Amino acid sequence: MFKAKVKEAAICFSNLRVTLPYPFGEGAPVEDGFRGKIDIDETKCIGCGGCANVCPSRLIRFYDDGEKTRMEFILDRCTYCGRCAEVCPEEAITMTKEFETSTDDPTDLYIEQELYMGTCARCGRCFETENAIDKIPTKRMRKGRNYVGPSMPHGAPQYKEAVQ
Amino acid sequence: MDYSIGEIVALCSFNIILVLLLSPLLEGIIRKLVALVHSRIGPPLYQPYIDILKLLGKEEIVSSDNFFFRYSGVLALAAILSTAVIIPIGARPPLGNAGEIIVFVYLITLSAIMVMMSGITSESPFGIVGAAREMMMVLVVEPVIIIALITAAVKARSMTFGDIMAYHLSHGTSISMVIVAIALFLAIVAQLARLPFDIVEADQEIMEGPFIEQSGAKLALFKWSFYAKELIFASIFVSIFVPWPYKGNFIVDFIITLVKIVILLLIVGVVHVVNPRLRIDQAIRYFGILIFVSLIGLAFALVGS
Amino acid sequence: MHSTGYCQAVEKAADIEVPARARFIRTIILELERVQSHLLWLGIAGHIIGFDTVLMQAWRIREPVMWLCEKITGNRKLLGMNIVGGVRRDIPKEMHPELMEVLDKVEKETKKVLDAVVTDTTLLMRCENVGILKNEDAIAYSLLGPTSRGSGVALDIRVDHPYAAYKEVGCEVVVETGADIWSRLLVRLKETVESIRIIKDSLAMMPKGEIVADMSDPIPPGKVGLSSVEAPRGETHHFVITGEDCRPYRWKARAPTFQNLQGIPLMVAGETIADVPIALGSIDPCFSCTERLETVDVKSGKIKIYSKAELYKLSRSKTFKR
Repeated sequence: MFKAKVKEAAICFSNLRVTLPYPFGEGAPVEDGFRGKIDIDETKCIGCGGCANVCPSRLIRFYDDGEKTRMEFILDRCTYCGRCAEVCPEEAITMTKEFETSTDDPTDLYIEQELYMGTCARCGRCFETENAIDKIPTKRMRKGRNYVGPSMPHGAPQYKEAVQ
Repeated sequence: MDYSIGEIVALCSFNIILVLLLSPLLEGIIRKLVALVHSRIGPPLYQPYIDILKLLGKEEIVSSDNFFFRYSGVLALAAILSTAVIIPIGARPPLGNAGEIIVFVYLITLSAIMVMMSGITSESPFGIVGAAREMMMVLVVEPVIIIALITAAVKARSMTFGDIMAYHLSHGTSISMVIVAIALFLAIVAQLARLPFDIVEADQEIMEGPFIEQSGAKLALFKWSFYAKELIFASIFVSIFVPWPYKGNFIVDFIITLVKIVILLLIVGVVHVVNPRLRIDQAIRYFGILIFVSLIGLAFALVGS
Repeated sequence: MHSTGYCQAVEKAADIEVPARARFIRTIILELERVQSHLLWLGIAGHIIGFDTVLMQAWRIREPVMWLCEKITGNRKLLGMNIVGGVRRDIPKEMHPELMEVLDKVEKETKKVLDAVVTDTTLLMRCENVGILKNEDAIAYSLLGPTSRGSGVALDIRVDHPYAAYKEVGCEVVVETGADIWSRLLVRLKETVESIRIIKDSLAMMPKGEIVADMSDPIPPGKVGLSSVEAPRGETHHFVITGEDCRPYRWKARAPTFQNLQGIPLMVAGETIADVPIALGSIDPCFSCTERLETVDVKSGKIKIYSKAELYKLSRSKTFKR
């Protein structure tokens, strides 16, 4: 039995003090590719709605307000799955390395973004975000106002019906 | 040893204040050692002081109106502090010939009974199970302590701590003392509620056992009595079984005793950290064997070696 | 585990073939989860019997495994690698030497712990001949995972109904006949070593290719799929009926702890209080997988089983503030 104890003591003493005094000191560094809190680049977003389509917690909402498209990201339910960043065609959503997201202020976890819509050259009505018009061809279309749901491939019969 | 009244009062207060103020630091040293073996940084050395201060300031939630529920913490700490004036820490014991080993054992048993009362009056089934375990542990651990101290007394032909210490200082060690020292060391590990005999308190199995309903200042006093027991028992062991070197100067002796106490507590810590907890029936069987071993030591002492 | 089970059930229902590289990556992720789970269990079992040193050292050995998961998937525990049709991220060739080095270290440390713990008398005193589960009882009550493998029942889905890449990589079933807590501990530790071997072989044998199948056709509704996965605690079954609009119509997951808990009264009948926590810990219970809540009114003897809607209402009334 003493041999077992000596072996255990050998295991213990060959690794001394592996803990870090976090949060009083520095923590361990985070690897690349870590899925932390998301960060949205307004200049790249084209308002396609792909992120809202795939978010499993359904915390991304789109509102069409006439000449603006408003996007709300209510991040307190975020599971840091990274699907929004994966699906975004313009890489406007990136996952940062920030993981200390607990707070007592709900506005820390609320991102709101507005995109101005460009106008149609013929009729003058707003129909698509300026970012997207700048990047032809558009990649996906939403079904209608205030709609959050699965998008359709362009050949599907429902798409033709919606665009009518 | 004849001291004057002033010296007696000074030594008594010195002992009591020392036990109260120094024992959390010794507990902190043991915790640091445990953390070292666990490969972590561990709490700072003064953490037990902060624990006691925090508990003294917390709200007390009382689950029973029983006299013993309310005052068992006070009585346990009082019993331990009373032993502080009859045992030697460094110098000769303050009360000289009034300090007998039988009184010491009675006071230790009194604090164990207070733990039991706290468990029984807590109106919780976990408390009663904890109190039953404490009873069983007392029944097997106390005889080892008594036999060990009586062996030391038989050799010194006196029952008081002062004479025992003086005798062993001048006569060196012997077979009976070595055998009994080993048994007493394991009994001390059990009395200090250290693994592998951690059966009574701080159980993941029965949720703190007898102390489940104690909170606030009452819990602080119980914890303090456990820290104080560490210093008391270590001091007894060191003074009777390893009293060398002795220089005659009060301060030098005190520092040497402190160093020996720290070394003994570090060995207790090492035993604590490499063992899991035993079941109560396994512990009883273990101590049954230890009682037998210490009786052998007593037999050696009676035949004169 | 559960994500693999669900994805495999949907793939079976819709006849989607997962590319070979994705199957190997899924195997690696499954075995990494198993290593993490067993090392965590070792720590918890040590803590229950008061042996905090085992807790700290086992969790220290587990840290590099979590670093591996972070490197491969982006998070230490919430791996999120599976998607219907394949996996989300690749393990590029440049990462392999680093991963192998860390795996070697973990294997060496686990073997050292196994070696040291096997002859520890005080540990054996607490774990041997405690929580005994006889072979006949394990078969009669259909207990799963290491709980029954410690009693001599040699069942393992990785070998009986191979999925992911287990047919190519091979898997050895670890069986002990002691039928007490100690044999379950040995089963889990030896399974950890076997899992590390599987991960290393998968990394070496991984073929080149796609990591996701071509998913441009929508999933047909009304199909049935059933898949079984060997979780660290036993067999996990997922049953899916696909529905409209690429969503599931029915989805039922059966986790192993729901079944293993039925064996607890057999293990602890007649033992002391001190043996109950460690016997309960030896089946590695995951109480969130036991899906029924039953309350018994002590005075009237009435039994009430909460339905899903009532459980939702109960938890929302306590937590939902907005």
